[in-house]
This record gives sequence, C-alpha cells and structure tokens, in this order.
Amino acid sequence: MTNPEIWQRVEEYRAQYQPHLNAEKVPLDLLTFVELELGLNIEPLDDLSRDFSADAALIGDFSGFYLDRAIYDRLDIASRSQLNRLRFSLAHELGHYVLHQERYQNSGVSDSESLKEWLNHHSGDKREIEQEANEFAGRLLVPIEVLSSLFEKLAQGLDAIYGPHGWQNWNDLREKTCEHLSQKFGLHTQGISTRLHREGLWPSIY
Amino acid sequence: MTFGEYTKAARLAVRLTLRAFSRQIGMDPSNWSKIERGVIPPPANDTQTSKIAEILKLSPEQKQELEDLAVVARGELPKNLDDAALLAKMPAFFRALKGREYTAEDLEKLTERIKDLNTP
Repeated sequence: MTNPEIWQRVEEYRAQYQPHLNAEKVPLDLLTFVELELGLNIEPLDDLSRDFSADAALIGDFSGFYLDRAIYDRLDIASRSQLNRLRFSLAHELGHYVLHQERYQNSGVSDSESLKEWLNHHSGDKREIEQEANEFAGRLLVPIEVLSSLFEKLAQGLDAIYGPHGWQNWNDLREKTCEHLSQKFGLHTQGISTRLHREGLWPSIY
Repeated sequence: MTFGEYTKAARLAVRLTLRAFSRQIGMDPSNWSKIERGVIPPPANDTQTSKIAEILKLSPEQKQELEDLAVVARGELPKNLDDAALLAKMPAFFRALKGREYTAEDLEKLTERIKDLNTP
C-alpha cells in the first residue's frame, strides 16, 4: 500500500468518525475513542512494555487492545512523553485494526509456533506492514490541514527574518519546531519530524 | 444477553470508559473487564449492584433485569479456555519498540499472562 493510499484511508476513517477524529480535536483521545465509539475492549496486561517491548497490541479476535498495565494504571500521573508514546502506540494498533485484519486472518496462524513466526516476520512482510501502521498512525494524529496551516504561518515568519531560503537547512531550528509541534499534536518529536518530511513540508536533510 | 454484555452496553450508553466506570464503583479495571467479558461472576453484593445501576442510570425495570442477569451469571460454571480460544486472544501484531525478535519462551510467558486475563 502506498503512502497516498494510506492517507486516503485515514481521511475516510476520520470522516466516518466525525466529530471524534476531527482535526481540531488534536491531540486525539484515542483511548476514549476506541472504547466509546468503536466499542472495543481495553485490557490492561501486566508488564507488556517491560517484558515484550510493546505498549499496546491488537487482540487476535479484534475485540480490543492490550495496554501495558503499569502505564494504564498511572495515566493520570503519566508524563507527557509517556502519554505521547501510548497515543502513538494505540494509533499504530488502530492502523492494524483498520488496514490489516484480513492479512492476519489469512496468515495461517494455527498454533503457538506459527504465531511466533507470524509475530516475528508477518509472512516476510513485517517491515511493510509495520510501516503501513506507522503511516496510518502519523497521518491520523497529525491531520495534514492543521500541520500545513501551522507550518505556513511559521514559514512566513521565518522568511521575513531569514529570507525565503535562509532557514530550511538549519537543523536546530527544525528540531525546535518539531518540539513545539509535538505539544500541539501529542506526538513525540521524531513523529513530527517524520510528518514534516513525508508530507513534503520541511524535508529532513539527514 | 449476559450480565457482562448488558453492563458494557449500558456503560457505553452513558459514555463511561472502563477506567472511569471502575473508578466510580471502586474496582480494579482489569477485574471489571473480566466481569464484562464473563470470565468472573459479578459481585454478590446488593449494595454494589445498586451502585452499578445508579452509575449506569438504569431505570427500576432495568435494575431488576440487571439483578436477574447477575443471578444467572453467578450460577454459571467458569468457561473452559481451549487452545483455539486462547489463540484468538493472543496479539495479532506485535510492534516491538526495540525491534526485538520473540522467542518461544517469550510467547510462553505471554500466553500465561493472557490465560490469566481469561480465566477466573
């Protein structure tokens, strides 16, 4: 699936779940969305993050998501970076839920050995499938119209100070911009950097 | 409809997440999730049932229905989790944050945790 195809699926999905996924609702509250709008279960699982290096996972019967219990139990006191990480993890798993149910159903998983093989390799397409879920998550959490609008305003200000071509290669400025936008969208700075790059607004020079 | 299905539908109708609802009734979200999924029976306590009915804004008729479903649920034997049911509860995808590869031991450990979530 190409990025534009994924973006189209995201925008269709956003339109389907108006107003809950509206652009002006950023940062999106996906935890509430998946429960109250999709009716899916949230099941806290002990040490998911510590022992399996994952904050969230889509349950095989598509009834809901496992979330790391320690994070889930402490949401009220979680740091911004923990919340941002959880938001992205949940958006990523939602990407699997929307894009990849059929892939899993046709995976031939029938026992623990085939499940291990699938979880590690996704029939040889792990990189592609995980990338698709990442792209879904990024586009969902960072609506293009909001990002474009914010970026245009910023670019106008920077043009006025540094001239039209004086700042695009200034990496410190790009990093600071990502940090600033990170708060707006509730996504880690690397995720914002990826959005600026993929959407062709401010490509990374590295 | 089971007690768990009934309370989940009512909870969504009043727009309470699992966390928000569990907090209001003073229960651990994991335990309440088990009740909604029919893994463990509802609390055998009239005060608790009344509190649940109040939080879910149930009418007297609905509260009676809830109590009847609770009696049925308490009388049911725990469901047997066979291999196919357990496999359905395993993760469909796993995005290891550090790009690790899962071993048979990892899967065994994970299976035990998921079994705990789905057995009384």
